Amino acid sequence: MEKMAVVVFAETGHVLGALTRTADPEGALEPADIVGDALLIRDPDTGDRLLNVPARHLGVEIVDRVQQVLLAPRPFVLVDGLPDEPSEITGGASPVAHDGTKLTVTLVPLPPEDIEVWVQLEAPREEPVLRRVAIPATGTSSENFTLTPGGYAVLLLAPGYQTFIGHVAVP
Amino acid sequence: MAEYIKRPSFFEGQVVSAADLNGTVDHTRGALARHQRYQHLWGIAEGLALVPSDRQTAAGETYVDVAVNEGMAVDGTGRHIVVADQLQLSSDLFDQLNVAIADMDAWYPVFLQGRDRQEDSSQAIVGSCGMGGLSRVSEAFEISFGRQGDELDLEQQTVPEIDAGPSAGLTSTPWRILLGFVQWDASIKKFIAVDESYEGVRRRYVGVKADQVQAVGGRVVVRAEEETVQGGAALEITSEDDGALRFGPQNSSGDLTPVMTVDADGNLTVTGKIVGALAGGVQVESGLVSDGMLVPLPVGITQKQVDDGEVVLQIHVTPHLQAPARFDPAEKWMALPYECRVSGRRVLCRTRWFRTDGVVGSEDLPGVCDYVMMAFPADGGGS
Repeated sequence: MEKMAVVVFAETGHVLGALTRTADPEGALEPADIVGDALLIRDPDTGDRLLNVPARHLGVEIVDRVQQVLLAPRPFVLVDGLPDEPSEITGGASPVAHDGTKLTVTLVPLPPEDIEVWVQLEAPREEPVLRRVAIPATGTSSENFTLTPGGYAVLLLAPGYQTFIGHVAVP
Repeated sequence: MAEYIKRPSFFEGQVVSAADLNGTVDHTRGALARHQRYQHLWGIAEGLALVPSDRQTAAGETYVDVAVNEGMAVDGTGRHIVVADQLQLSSDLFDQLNVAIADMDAWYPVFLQGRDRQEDSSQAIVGSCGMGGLSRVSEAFEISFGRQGDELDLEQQTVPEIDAGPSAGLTSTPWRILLGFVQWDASIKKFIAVDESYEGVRRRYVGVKADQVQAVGGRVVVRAEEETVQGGAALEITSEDDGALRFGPQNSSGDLTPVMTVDADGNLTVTGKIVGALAGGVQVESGLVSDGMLVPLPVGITQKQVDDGEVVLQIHVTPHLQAPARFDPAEKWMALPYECRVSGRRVLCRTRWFRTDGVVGSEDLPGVCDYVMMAFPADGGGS
């Protein structure tokens, strides 16, 4: 079976990148080998940098090759070594909001149980802010911390949901 | 005038003297000693391991008794030294030699030295005419200890004259053979540890000197372990299959499973990887990689080699145009490679997808590209 290497967010298994190697398909890789200090996530419309996901939060898994994961990795989550495509976060409005002093995360559809999600907020030319937020089955939770006003790219990684990449404006 | 080695010769009616008979023994011993000195390397041939046994004093302090296992060694004069029974290292002797320094972490060498010993005079035999003498010489030995660092000059020991037999060991410094090292606790006057080596100096084992080794049965094997040791490394030169050089682990029957083979035509076959072997050539890797990731380096090539200028990378990327699963197969989409390049090793790849079935719309998505990464040795190495 052909193999591929997938870069995952270590705490949740969300697939953020993928590659194959012809000469050494199953050789072990460290995240720094294939992302450097951080995995770059860009705005596909403009090509601008949105997020740098630090390599220390990433892992690399060598799994059986699945072509669709290679073509578009981010809808997938690795579950027991196999790529799974969970449902998207829906609901119309962005699931992440910040009013300058408080972060609010809202998941739609509702999670089946209490879960922990990871949120990365990153402004241009600023260090990313990465937070772990506990979400009860009601689907909404808040955490208090201050952000300076401006536009932020958002990465939301929630177990049972596809990766969400968006924007939030902090007033 | 040239000196020759002489051997006794006997004739009918000869009155044979003790010197004649001793001469036959000495001639044989001398020939063997010269064979050992000039056709072999001196050292431990069998056994002679230092074996610790944990002990405690009455006050509860831990120490070790150290035994030397039976075995045999050949010293640099060609003398065979046989230790027929296991014996204990003497902590009293160590203390008397006064070699210890005020450092409990110091390691002291343990030496084996051959030394002939005349039999007790009570064993003398009286022959006819009142003549008598000792009829046996014990090829004895001593276990001694050296100061820290004495193990460093063993290769500078004095080799006998070319025509000499084995040393009787009757000088003040008989040839020393290193058996290992011990540590010492002066407060309880006991050994506290044993090791085979210290700072790269280890027990020396016998060897062979030869410019040529020729097989009898068409096959020469060099083994790192005894033939029956599963997994021991072995190297084989054979005339089978038109001739080959093979390396690999052996099974318990001594048969080698080759992991590297060179055949008579010079073809090299390995079952593993050739790592870091630029050797004037190029290392290549290829595959698919998604936007934002680094093109992976070929096996054996490190980013440090690239940063130090030892290796030059050439990377070629082309867009991989294949519709992702999110597109309905009933819809018609066309791909426009919007961006496909590398910055350093970082892949920057985007694709614009157009509907071509009359529905207006497009979508820009992170792309995937096919890559070929080639690593070349830089001319002259690093800058």
